[in-house]
Amino acid sequence: MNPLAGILYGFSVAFGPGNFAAAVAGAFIGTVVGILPGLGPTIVMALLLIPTMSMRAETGLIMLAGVYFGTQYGDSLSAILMGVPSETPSVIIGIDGYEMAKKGRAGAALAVAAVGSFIGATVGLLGLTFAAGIVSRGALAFGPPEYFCTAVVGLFILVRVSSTSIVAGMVPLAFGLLLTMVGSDPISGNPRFTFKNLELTLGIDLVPTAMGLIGMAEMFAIAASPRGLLKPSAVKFRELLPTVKEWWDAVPAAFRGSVMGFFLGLLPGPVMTLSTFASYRLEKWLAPTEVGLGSARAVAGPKAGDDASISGGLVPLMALGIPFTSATAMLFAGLLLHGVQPSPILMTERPEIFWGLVAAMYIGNVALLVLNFPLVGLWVNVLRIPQSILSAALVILMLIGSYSLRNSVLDMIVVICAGLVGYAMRQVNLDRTLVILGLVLGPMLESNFRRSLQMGNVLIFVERPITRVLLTILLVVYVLPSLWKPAWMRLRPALGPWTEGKREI
Amino acid sequence: MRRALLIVTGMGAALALFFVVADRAYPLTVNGEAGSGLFPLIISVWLLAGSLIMAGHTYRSRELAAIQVDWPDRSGLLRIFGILVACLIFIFLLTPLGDLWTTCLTIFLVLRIMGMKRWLYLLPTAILMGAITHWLFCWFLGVTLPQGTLFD
Repeated sequence: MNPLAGILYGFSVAFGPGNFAAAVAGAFIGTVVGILPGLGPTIVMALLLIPTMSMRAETGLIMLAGVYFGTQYGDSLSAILMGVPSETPSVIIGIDGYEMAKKGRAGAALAVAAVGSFIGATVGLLGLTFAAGIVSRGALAFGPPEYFCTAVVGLFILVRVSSTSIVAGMVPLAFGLLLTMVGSDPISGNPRFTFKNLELTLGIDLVPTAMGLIGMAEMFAIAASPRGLLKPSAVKFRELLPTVKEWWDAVPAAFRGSVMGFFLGLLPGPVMTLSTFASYRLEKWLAPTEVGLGSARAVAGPKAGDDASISGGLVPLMALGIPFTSATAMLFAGLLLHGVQPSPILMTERPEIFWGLVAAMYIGNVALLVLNFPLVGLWVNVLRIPQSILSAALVILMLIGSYSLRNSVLDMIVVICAGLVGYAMRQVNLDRTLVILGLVLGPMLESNFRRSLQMGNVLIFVERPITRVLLTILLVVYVLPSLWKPAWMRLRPALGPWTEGKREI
Repeated sequence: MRRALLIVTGMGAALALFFVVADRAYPLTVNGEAGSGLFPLIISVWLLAGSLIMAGHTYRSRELAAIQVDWPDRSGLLRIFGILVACLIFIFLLTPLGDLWTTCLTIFLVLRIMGMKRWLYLLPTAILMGAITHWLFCWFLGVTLPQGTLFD
């Protein structure tokens, strides 16, 4: 199926009964949660896996995708209105957005961010529509050694790019991989490291672990130093219209940011932060006297880059079945829960899932634009929810949510233990995303490693042309770190204390 | 930061050692092919080596010694402990009391710990949130939650 026919078929699926409502509802829920500081797409998607289990596969996945896009819009709101970013990528958006708000242009900043978000997501989805097919056709030639090397190379690049030092990334990754050893052997199915505990034969599930590592750890952080009530200034509907100059600056910047964001999104790493930063630097270079003082272009460009990088990040997931961010790992978990194995043949074997999901993202994206303008007053009020109510709701949703997955008390204990581990990791600045990705990719890595060894010996990983190319890429990234490191290292001091201890989660 | 990282890496090394020892129960090869113990052994050794290297680096680093970890103060620690206790109460009481009452009780405790002091708001909020959660999971989503052995 060519991309055009595919996307038309996808729209016929996405407009099917329940699917359209799921896309819009997902976008709405995502926006609400994205607004709240500290809550990112991973935790919401983990919580929503339970309700989506009772839906049809395409409906549930469409809802999760809507949530993913919704959170990305929501996270810039608190950064613009109060200078309090809820996620690391919105730090950059908040620099000029907050300056605009201080000048009484908060409404225009929100509008420009919404339009930037729309353009970024649309360009990114166009890229996904065409790139996923090319990548998945190429991946049909992959055997176990190629899959193993792709995942290893992706994870190692992620470690190189996102951690303060290589070893500081390797330890959380190995910890995540080690957790997947508990349960059943992926080849023989025999119990392993279960210590005669029946519940452990099912293994340590991804969802409660992610809930604990991110959600519960965030609860502990809030409990450690609770903040007072946030008091965002009210934004009226009539204040939303940007001036002609602001439009003129914002729209081209959004297109520039989108293209950059999509291509950066294809790479493993903290791509959302990198794309917002790259777009900001480009705008600063183009208009050095304006950017930093409340320029619409420095809001729209980074916001577009942020949203476009999400679609870029979906390419390895949808075409290869390998997620490289914790949010796409949740989408991966959603696919598995519905009995869908993400792989290069997903497009041909389950076109309703693949194309339905892509089309639903287009719909969700339009829905976000339509919803965001009239509901801006509601979004501002979300920020006024007292922290105590929010914490109580989240704690209980995480506990019941984890229990409902398999009716297992062990999963609730996992949430609490992972919460303590996640809090400790957060405090010492270790990347929790790597634990989650280790947990997602562990079984796939092990089964492909062992199947590769069945095909020959260890040398098989250097004998095949594709694996050779992949390992060469890895070598280049590790031997020539200057190719990667400076962007991220320069970014940290530029972001200041906001990025301390924060990651794209 | 140095002490905190040394504790974390020490725990990582201990976990890895535990898995190395436990891995002896599983074969590394079966009929000349990789067995179920091979990959866990590789990962355990990787975690052990990584933890030890990180510990060594941390121990020698003056830069890390100068960084202060933002650990919670006494009241913060008490709040974290309180939330932990509330979660454990939920886990232990879920089966005997059922989801509705346990949820109300846990929400009540978390609200209280997180600073909601006035009983006039506290009790109705806990009951309302508990009822909404019960409706959401049991009626709307159709999830089977324990109804309470005490009430059977």
